[in-house]
Amino acid sequence: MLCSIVSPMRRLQALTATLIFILLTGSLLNSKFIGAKTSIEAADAIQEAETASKNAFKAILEADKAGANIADQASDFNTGLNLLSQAKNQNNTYQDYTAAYNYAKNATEHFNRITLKANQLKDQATQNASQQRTTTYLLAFLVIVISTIAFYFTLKLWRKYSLRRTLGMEIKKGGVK
Amino acid sequence: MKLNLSKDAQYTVTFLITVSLIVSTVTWVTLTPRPQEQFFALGILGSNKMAEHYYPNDNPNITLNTPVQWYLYLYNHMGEAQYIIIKVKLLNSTTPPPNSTSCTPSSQPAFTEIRRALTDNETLETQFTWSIKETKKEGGSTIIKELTVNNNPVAGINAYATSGINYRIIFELWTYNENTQQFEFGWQTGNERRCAWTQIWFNATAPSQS
Repeated sequence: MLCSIVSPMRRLQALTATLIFILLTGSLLNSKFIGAKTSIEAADAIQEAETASKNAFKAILEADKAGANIADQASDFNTGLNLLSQAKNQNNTYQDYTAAYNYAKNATEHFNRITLKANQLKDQATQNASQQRTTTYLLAFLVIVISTIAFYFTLKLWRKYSLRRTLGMEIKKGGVK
Repeated sequence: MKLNLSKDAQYTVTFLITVSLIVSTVTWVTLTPRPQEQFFALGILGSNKMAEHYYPNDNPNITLNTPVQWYLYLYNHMGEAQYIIIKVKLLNSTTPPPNSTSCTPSSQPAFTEIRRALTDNETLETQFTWSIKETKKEGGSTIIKELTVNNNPVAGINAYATSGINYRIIFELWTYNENTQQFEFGWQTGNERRCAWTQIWFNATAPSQS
């Protein structure tokens, strides 16, 4: 009778211990793969980096057309392309999707930073170009006005000088050979 | 209505018109960028960065795991920054190469590619070291299965050539078109489409791994 009472209790304890063990083991195994990415996540991250690269290049090109010095941005862009290349390499050659995902995310952040900086450079270059154009037009106008006024007064002075010289002439008796 | 201008006023007006014409021309020339011919120059250089010594010991018969060192040269004279891809393809003598007249790329897939942004007047010079990692013999053909490019394995190539003779590595220049947001073979200059590609032949006559 006692045996029949103890046995179900022991069974219950054993079951509880097994459940706890399974839960602990499961969580330990899970913790090992926390942050692991799937091939779909890696492919999406690579696609996102591709789009970011195109946006960054667009910003660089616009800054270039506005007359900004984009040498540093182009160099940074190539660093981003290396990250993207690493992501593709990890994804296609080694099937390491977590590494591919991380490289792609780094590349995206890198390209986004370049886009921001290039947009700033473009605005600055546009402003500089506008100022330079205005200065050139103003300078051209001033050259025309000042040179014309100078010409007019030089002409007046020359006339005065000519008149004075004419009036200051003495009549001398000339001999006839 | 007739203006009665003095001689001096007439001279001054003539001077004003002349100076205005000269200064306007100088201003226009200063502010307008001169049009320049747009082009890229693409080339492959040998191990000493010159147009020679393309193969180890100048022998085009490339054996397994023998590194072949080339340098890729690209000059941007397009007047602005360019985003380019150089697609590298492995062809045999019978596979159609790119068509320079119609600017059609080779239909073969690229086994590797080089992406770069180049500023105007910038020259790219990058190392391209490759070796044959794995070949297979099938009938009278040699099949290159795997290459190593810049220390990275490139598998899944499967390029065949009779007796391993007359393989060629082709470099195609693709540029990013801002309007279509796509990479295109060659580039647009005015209404004209131009393209650049280059190739180097070799033989894979090494004993196969199968």
